[in-house]
Amino acid sequence: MERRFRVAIVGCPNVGKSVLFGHLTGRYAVVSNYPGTTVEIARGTGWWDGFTFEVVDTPGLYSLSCVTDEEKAARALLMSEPVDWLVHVVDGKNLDRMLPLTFQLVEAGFPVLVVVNMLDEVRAAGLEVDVGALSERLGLPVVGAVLTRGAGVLEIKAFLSRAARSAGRPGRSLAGPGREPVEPRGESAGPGRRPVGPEQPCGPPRGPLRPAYDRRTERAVAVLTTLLGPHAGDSRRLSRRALALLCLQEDPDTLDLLRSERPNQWPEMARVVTESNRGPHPVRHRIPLALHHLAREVASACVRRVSDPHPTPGRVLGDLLMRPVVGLPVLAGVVYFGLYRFVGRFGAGTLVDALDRVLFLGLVNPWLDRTVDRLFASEVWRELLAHEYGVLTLGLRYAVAIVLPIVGTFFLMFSLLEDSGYLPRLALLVDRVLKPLGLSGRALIPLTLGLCCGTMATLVTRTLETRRERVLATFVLALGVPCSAQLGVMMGVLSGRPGALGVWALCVAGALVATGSAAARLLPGRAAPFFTEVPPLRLPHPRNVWRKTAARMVWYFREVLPVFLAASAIIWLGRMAGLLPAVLAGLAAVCVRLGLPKETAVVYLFGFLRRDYGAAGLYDLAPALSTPSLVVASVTLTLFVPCLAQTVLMYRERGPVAATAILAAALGTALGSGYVLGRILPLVWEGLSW
Amino acid sequence: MVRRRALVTAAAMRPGEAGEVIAVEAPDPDSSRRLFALGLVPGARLTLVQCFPAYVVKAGETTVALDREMAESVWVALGKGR
Repeated sequence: MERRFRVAIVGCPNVGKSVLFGHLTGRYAVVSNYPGTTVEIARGTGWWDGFTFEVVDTPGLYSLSCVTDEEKAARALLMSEPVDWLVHVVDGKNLDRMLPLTFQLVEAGFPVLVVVNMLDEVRAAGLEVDVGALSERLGLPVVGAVLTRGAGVLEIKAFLSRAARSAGRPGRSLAGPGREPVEPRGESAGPGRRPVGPEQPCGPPRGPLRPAYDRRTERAVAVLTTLLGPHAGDSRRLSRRALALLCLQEDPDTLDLLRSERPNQWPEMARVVTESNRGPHPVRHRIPLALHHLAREVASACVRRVSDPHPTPGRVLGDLLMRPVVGLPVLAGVVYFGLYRFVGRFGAGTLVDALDRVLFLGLVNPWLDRTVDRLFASEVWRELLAHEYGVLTLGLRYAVAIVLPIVGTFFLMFSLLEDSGYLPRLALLVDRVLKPLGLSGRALIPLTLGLCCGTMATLVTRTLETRRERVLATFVLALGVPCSAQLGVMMGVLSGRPGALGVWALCVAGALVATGSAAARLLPGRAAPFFTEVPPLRLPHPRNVWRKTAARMVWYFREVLPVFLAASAIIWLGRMAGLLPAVLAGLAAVCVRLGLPKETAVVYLFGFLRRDYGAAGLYDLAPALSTPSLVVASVTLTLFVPCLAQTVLMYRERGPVAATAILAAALGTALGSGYVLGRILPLVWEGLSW
Repeated sequence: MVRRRALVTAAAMRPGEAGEVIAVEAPDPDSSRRLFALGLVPGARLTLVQCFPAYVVKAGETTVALDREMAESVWVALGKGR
């Protein structure tokens, strides 16, 4: 069988990695985890010049000494999978910021192709990159590109097939294309993938440029590389020099890895690391500084200012959108039209109606009911598969008819916002507002999405950077963000009663802020610091937006379908085991305590099993309730534990401990505020109506 | 002759002011590293664009938004640094 040539695309966020991935792989992409977020890895296959290329698009990576989960995933991938060639995509405007990673990749022993992207933006900034000089200086192959327009793709493909050709030749190591005439200079040294002999710290004369550090650092590196000994274990794909440098920077994961892999050498290694980081100029500061200084030196030799920056519309608008005067109205517009009108009304309303009422309730479900009844005699199986709570008629229908339209419209919107560079602007505008809840500006997206579908929003909390923030956002979503199904019915039920809607909104918001900020204080750890790169505003490319949306929908569907199926199976189990009456009786007792008729218990239970049913049940009950009772019922129902699907997802995403704590806190808050309201509201109401 | 320049944090700068980054001292090493990666490195020239609702600075061709805590960890020598 023909050997495949493995290519990994690496680079910072927002440099065009996924665009290049699209060019190299065509339609055949598989996103194996949530895209654009914590850990997304897209894989695809490309065929050209008679070779098969396996291309993997790694998450954004600023530096090998990782900070975020995204970076850790990218580095883990580089360490765990064999890769024949790395394509490092860099933003031409910010070469000085991008090159430190190039140096680290070279240090780690990877063969690297540098793609200097966004040459159009470079020109707009009044700059010019001398690609030839850069290649000369780095001792690496370099291609200039404007990937959004496809410029440079041919050169990249041609380079990779040359590399594949020499890799496939017998007697050649996988180290690189060797001395191909077309090969950029210095390849004879070959940044050898897995150096066999002793490493040469400064590389041969025409090899790739390797950063040299001060004497103290180099001495420590020399000691550590000797201690590291031969390559072994999970660390084997990084050169010993790179491992030593990561160690010296006290990179926690590397230290853990080496502690377990080389227990005998570890005490001595730990001593060297501690020793080197003592004093006012610790080595862990010197290393990144040395990399940045070298990067700046190379960049200033290869980038020239040729004119003043042109004020392009993207730049001007991009700056304006960060100012509250312009940014906040636009933000309100994006949330209203983009999320509420497009996702909430069109996706969750029009599309869901069409799919659910017309397709499922009208055609598919009756057919399923009949077919299942014909195939199975036992009521037990009939109920599992079809009818009111069947795995097919409820679980599948929910995933396809109710959630998929919301997901599709949301991801279309999200991909547009993401590719246009708007998201960081949104985050910086609302960061202050969300700080008290322990959340950063980024959390606005999952929270607003929660107004459409809490289950999906819980999944989207993966876009948040720290676990702490993900837990807090999940809590806020579980507690008080009503989903579109609930919101619709609440509006319907309460709008007829003047003041009730206002009281409901105030109570829910109050409980949300109070409990949310209390949780933010109680949860150990500190609030994640907020800082983000704000890329220039760009016109999103329809093809890329579509690709992302489609890949995300497929991914989402695969993630969430089992959740919905499981949820309907749980309901079935509960019904078969005869648990429902017992639960209902318990809930009824609680309702009476809150001063509500015991029929509201049904509303709560169904609110958990099927949020829309629960809220709809309230609709039927509403005429019989006094206004204060109705408000109490709606407030508690909103704050009450989320629907079953969201609960299942919470357990899967956050783990049993966090999920149980979240549920308990939500339940406590709902019942607590219900109780207090039930006492106070009737008195206040009477006072008001007087 | 060396003129002494005022040393302030980015949080104390006024919009439009510029200077040279002297040190980056975030409360945790991870944040410092990340600020480095965003181009806020000692020696870089930085301009404060705005300070509300978040701090926005430009270093080279990179725009970075920071909250107060992060802005306070970037030390800048005001004036024409090169």
